[in-house]
Amino acid sequence: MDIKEYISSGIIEAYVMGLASEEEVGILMCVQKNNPEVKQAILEAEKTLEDFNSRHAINPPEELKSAIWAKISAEGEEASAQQSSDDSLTEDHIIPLNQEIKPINTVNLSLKWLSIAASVLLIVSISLNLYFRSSQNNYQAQLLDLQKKQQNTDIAYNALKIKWDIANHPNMKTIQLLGVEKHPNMKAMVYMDKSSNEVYLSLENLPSPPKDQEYQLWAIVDGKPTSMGVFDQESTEAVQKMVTVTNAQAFAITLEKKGGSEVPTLENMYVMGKV
Amino acid sequence: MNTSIKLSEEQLISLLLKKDEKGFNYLYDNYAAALFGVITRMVSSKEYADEIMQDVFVKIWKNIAQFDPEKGRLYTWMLNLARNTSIDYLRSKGFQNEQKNQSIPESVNDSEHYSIISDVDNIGVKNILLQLRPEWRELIDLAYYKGYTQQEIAERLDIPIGTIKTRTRNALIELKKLLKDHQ
Repeated sequence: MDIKEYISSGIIEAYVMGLASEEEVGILMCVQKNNPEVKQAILEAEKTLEDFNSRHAINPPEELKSAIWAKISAEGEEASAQQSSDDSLTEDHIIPLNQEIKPINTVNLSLKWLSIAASVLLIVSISLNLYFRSSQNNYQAQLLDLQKKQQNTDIAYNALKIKWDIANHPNMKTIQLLGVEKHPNMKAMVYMDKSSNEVYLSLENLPSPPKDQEYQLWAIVDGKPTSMGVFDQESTEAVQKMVTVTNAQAFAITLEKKGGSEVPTLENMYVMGKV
Repeated sequence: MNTSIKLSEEQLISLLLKKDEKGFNYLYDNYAAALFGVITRMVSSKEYADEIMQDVFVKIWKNIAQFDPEKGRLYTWMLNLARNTSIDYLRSKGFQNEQKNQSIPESVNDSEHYSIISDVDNIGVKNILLQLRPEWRELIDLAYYKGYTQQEIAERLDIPIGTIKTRTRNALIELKKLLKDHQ
């Protein structure tokens, strides 16, 4: 799925409406981090809902504002009152330590300390739980990302490995096809098996062809071009097997309509090389 | 939005973080009506709406430090906070029992339900949702105002989840257009 399709799938609208599943939200958050187009689409959808809500605003009762402020102020005071009562509690704990301690008290005291320790452990455990739960979502997104990268690396590695194997095969003859006058820096490689006459092609430096066109390989046999087939751009194979040929004197690549042409379009020739 | 001084979201947030009363005043004067609107529509009861409003503002006040500007605008964050708080109310046992006793119609297509909605709107503002196709309006109601999940809506309307996504998208695109036309 490309990014346009992803955006128009409705996932963003589902997200801003609170419909998307946790998993979908995780993926979307990951995508928007690296994709300004997606981020923008989310902000726009959110803006629609903001505008909608601004338009359908309802004035709350007059007295509500002061009631809310009173509540907020009261909560603020409560919080600080809580703080100071906590302080006095700690002092209470300290006093008995300075008094004469009877054996029975020691038991009580250690029980007290034990229970405090237990509470602390419980709090630590709960916070760790909460912490791990929230980071788990993060890890899942990161994992998806890494898996994708790993896949790309695997594909690139396999392509290189195949190329290496073919190029180093003792029976292989390597022919470099270099850019013609119009396309100076371009390059492709043809590998020809000297005993079986099988031909392999690898595009080293050629631009991606337009959607409706493909690169076609030609062999020049006795001065005449013979089609060796087209290079499949969709395939992940970096080195592709072409048609078998004997007595080829040269190879060339032209850009042709999808599926290839009967005769090469010479003005669209990109690279060529003599055997 | 009726305050003469216009603060940016960043300025407002920094006032709120400092627990400055000016921040509360600006917040309330500029956003209370929008939040009260969404809450009232969700719980369809003014008494509950008052209570939820108090909760929501206390939450905004307490949790402002958790707001992450990277993830979106403050306004959207507050709207979602108001929606989530209202959804919690809708799902609470006490609320559901009360609703049962009053036998308020459940159906979202019920015209009475919408007449309640238009009644409480500010004078002169017609609810723009009424101009949406019924199937889109229904979806917005179930998702945005009732807080149903995709799964619940799929079962209730007997449509696939993919259809819900396309429909939600179309509904929002149309809503955006309507809002533009009626500026």
